[in-house]
Amino acid sequence: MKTNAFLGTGTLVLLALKRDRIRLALWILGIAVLLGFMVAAFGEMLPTDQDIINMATAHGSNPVMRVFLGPIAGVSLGGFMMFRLSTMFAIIIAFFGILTVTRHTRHNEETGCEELTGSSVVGRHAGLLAALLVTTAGSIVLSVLIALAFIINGHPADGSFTAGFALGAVGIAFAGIAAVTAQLTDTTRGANGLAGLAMGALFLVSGVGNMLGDFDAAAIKITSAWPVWLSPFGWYQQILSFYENNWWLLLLFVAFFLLTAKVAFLLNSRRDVGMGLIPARKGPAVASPGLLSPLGLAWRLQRKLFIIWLLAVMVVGAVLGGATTELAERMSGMERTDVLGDIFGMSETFAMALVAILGPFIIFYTVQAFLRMASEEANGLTEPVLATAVTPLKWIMSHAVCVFLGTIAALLSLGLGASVSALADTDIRVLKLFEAALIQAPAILVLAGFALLVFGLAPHLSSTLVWASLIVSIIVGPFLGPALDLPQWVQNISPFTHVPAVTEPVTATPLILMLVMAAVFTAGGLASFCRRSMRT
Amino acid sequence: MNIIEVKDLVKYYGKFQALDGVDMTVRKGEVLGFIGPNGAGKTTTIRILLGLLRKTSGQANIFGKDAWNKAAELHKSMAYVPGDVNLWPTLTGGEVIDLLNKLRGGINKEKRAEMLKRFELDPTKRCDTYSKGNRQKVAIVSAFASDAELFLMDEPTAGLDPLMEAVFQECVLELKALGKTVLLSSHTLSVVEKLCDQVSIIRQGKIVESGSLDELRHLTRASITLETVKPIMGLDNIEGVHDLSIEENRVRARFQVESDKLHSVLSFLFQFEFKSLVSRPPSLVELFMHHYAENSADTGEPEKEGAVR
Repeated sequence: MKTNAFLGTGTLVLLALKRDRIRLALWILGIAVLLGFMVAAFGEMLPTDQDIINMATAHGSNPVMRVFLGPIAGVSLGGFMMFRLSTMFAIIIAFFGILTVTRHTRHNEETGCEELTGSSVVGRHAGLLAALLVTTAGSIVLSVLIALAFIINGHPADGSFTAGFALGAVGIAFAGIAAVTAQLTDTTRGANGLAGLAMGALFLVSGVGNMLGDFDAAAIKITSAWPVWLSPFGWYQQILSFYENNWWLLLLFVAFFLLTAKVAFLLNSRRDVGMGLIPARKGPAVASPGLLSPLGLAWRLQRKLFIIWLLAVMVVGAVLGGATTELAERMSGMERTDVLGDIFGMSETFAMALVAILGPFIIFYTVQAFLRMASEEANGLTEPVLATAVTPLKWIMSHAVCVFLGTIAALLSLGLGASVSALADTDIRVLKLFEAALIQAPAILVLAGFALLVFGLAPHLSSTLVWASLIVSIIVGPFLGPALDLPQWVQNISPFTHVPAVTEPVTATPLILMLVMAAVFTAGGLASFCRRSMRT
Repeated sequence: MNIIEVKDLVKYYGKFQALDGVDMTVRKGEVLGFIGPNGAGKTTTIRILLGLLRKTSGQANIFGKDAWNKAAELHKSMAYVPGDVNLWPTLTGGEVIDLLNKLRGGINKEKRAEMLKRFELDPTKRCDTYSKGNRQKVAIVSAFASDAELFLMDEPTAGLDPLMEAVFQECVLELKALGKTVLLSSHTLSVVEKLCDQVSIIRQGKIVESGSLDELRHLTRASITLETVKPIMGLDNIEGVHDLSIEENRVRARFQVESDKLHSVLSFLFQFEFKSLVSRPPSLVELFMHHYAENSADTGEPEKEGAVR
C-alpha cells in the first residue's frame, strides 16, 4: 500500500462531516438522550437495592430472557442498566456503525459521487479511510456522551466511562465489519444486509452464551458460557461495567477493528470502483413464465429478503429451541424464584415463551419487505409497470400479498425451528409452538396495514413513519413497557401488548379486533394509493 | 379519428403551475413532434397522458377515453419510452423486455428478436451493468417489439450513438408507414424535422405554436442570400427585412425576410437585376430559437429549468 493511496482523506472527512452534520448529531444525541432518560426512569422505579435484586432475579433467572439481555454482576443500578437495557442500545449503535460506513463508501460509489471525487486528487483508499475515521470519531463522541448520561444520573465515574466506551466500541467493531461487506457487494442494500446478517449471528452467539450461563441467586451474578467470547456483543458485556470494570477488554475491539479494516483495505485494492468482488453474472436472455405477471415481478423482487429471513428465523428458533430442552432438564431440580416460576419444568410452555419473545421481531422483516416495495416507487420502477395494462391496485396488491404471506411464513418458520426442541423432549407438542408463533400475526399485520396506509397517503414520509411506529411498538410493548413502568394506556399503543401471553388462555377478541384494524388500514392504504399520482 | 385529445389541461404541483391550459390533438397515423425547453411541461403532459399523474383540470383523452380512469385498459395499445430509463438492477434486459410486453398484452417473439438485432442489444446482461444508452435501448426495443397503436416517447434518443439514432429513425418511419400514431418529444430538432408531420411547441406550460412544419414556417422568416448586378440601395427601409448584411461593393446581401413579405421584398429587389438567389426556409432550430429568444425577452421571465419532471 502506497501512502498516496490515502491522499485527500482529510478533505473527504470534512466533506462527510459537512454532509452529515445533522444526521450524525441526531444519531449520537438521540442515542445518548434516550439512554439518559431510561437511566433516570429506572432510577425512579428501583429506589432500593432490594428492588434491583428482585427484578434482577426475576429476569436473570429466566434463561429465555437472558438471550436478549446482558449478564448481571453485583447489585448496582448502573450494573442493572447494563444488564437490562444495554443490548438494545448495543444493537442500535451497531446499526449506527454499519449505516454510517456504507453510506460513505458503497453508497457513494453507487450514486457515482466516488467517481467524481476519485477523479480529483484523492487516493483510492481515502474514501474508505474517511468513512472509518468519521464513524470511529462518532462512536467515541457517543461513548463520552453515554458516560455523561450515566454520571448526570449519579452513577460512579469509572463505571460510567467503561459503560460508555463498551457501547461505543460496538459501533467501532461493526464499522469494521461494514467496511468489509461494502467491498463484497455492489449495492448499499447488499452491504447493509450482509453486515446486518453478521450482526444477527453475532448477537445470537452471545445470547446463547448468556442463556447457557449460570445465574447465581446469592451473588446476583450471571456467569456466561464460552460462546460470548466469540462475539463483540459478548466482549462489551464481559467488561462488567459498574462491577469489575474490565476496561482492558476494549483492546479486543481495537484488535478486531484493525483486523477488519486491514481486510477491507486489501479487498478495496483488488477491485474496480463501482464493482463488488463478487462479479455480476450474465442472466437469462428470455424471462421465465413465472416472472411475467405483477405478482411474479413482486415475488422476484421480494424473494431474496424473504428467503434470508426464513432461514435466519428458522436457525434462531432451532438454536434457542434446542437450548431450551437442555435448560429445562438442568432447571428441573432448581428452586423456583422466577416470574415464570410456575411454568418451570414444563418445557412446552418454556419453548412457547421463547417463540412468543422472538415472534414480534419478525416485524423487522415485514417492514423491510414493505420498504422494498416503497423503494420501487422512489426509484421510478413503478412507472414502467403502470405504463402497461397493470392497474395501480394490481401492482400494490402483488407486493402486499408477498409481504403478508411472507410474514406468516416467517412466523411458521420460527415455529418449525423451535420444534427442534420437540425432538429432544416428547412432552412438547409441535402444534402449540406454531400456535405461539401465529398468535403474533395479527399484531404484526396491524403495523403492516399501517405502513400501507402511510404509503398511500404520504409516500415521502412512509419510511420515517413506519420505522418510528415499529420502534414505538417495541419500546412501549411487552418487551420494555412493563419494565419501564409505563402507564397502561401508553403500553396499549403497541399492538404487541394486546397479544395474549403464553401463560394466559387465548382470547379471540383482541386478535379479531386487530385483524379487523389491519384490514381497515390496508383497505384505506390501497384506496388512497390508487387515487394518487406516482412520485418522481 | 383523434387518438390523443388534450383540452385546456392544467396541472399544479402544490403551488407551482406546471401546465397552464395545454391543447393538443393527434390524429391517427400522425407523428407529432413535441418540443420545448427543459421544464416547459413536456414530461408532465406525457405522464398525465399515461395516467401516472392526476391532472388538476381540463381534459386528457386517448382513443376517446379518459387517460386517468381507463389507464390500464388504454395501455394495452400504448407503448412508452421514457427519457430517463429506470430498470430493475437484478433483472436482465431480456427479462425486462418480456415482462413489459407480457404485462401490456403479449410477447411478439419475431419482432423482439428483430429489434434486439437491429439495436445490437445483449439481452443477457443484468440491467445494473448497462450504460445509459443501453438502458434506453431496452426501453426502445420493448416499445418497438410491441403491437401497440400509440407510441409515447419522451426524449427517447438522448443517450444513443449516431448509428443507433439512425436505426431509431428508421423504426419510427416504419411505424408511420404502418399507420401507427407517435408522440415524440425531443431536443434533436433535426430528427423531429425529419420524422414528424406535425409539431407542437410548449413553453412554460402552454402550447405556443402548433401545426405542420410548413404552416409554422409561414409564420416566420426565410433566409435569403443574393447577388445582383447593380448595387443594392434602400433595402434596410423595406418592411419585413431583418438582420441585413451587405458587402462593401453592395452587390451581395444576406438577410431574413418575414414569409408574408417575401413577395413585396423580392419585387423591390428586382430592379437591381439578380445574378443569383438562394432562399432557404427556416429550420426548426431557427423556429425554436426565434420563439424562445423572443418570448423570453418579451416577458423577461427566467426559464424554470428542471422545475418540472
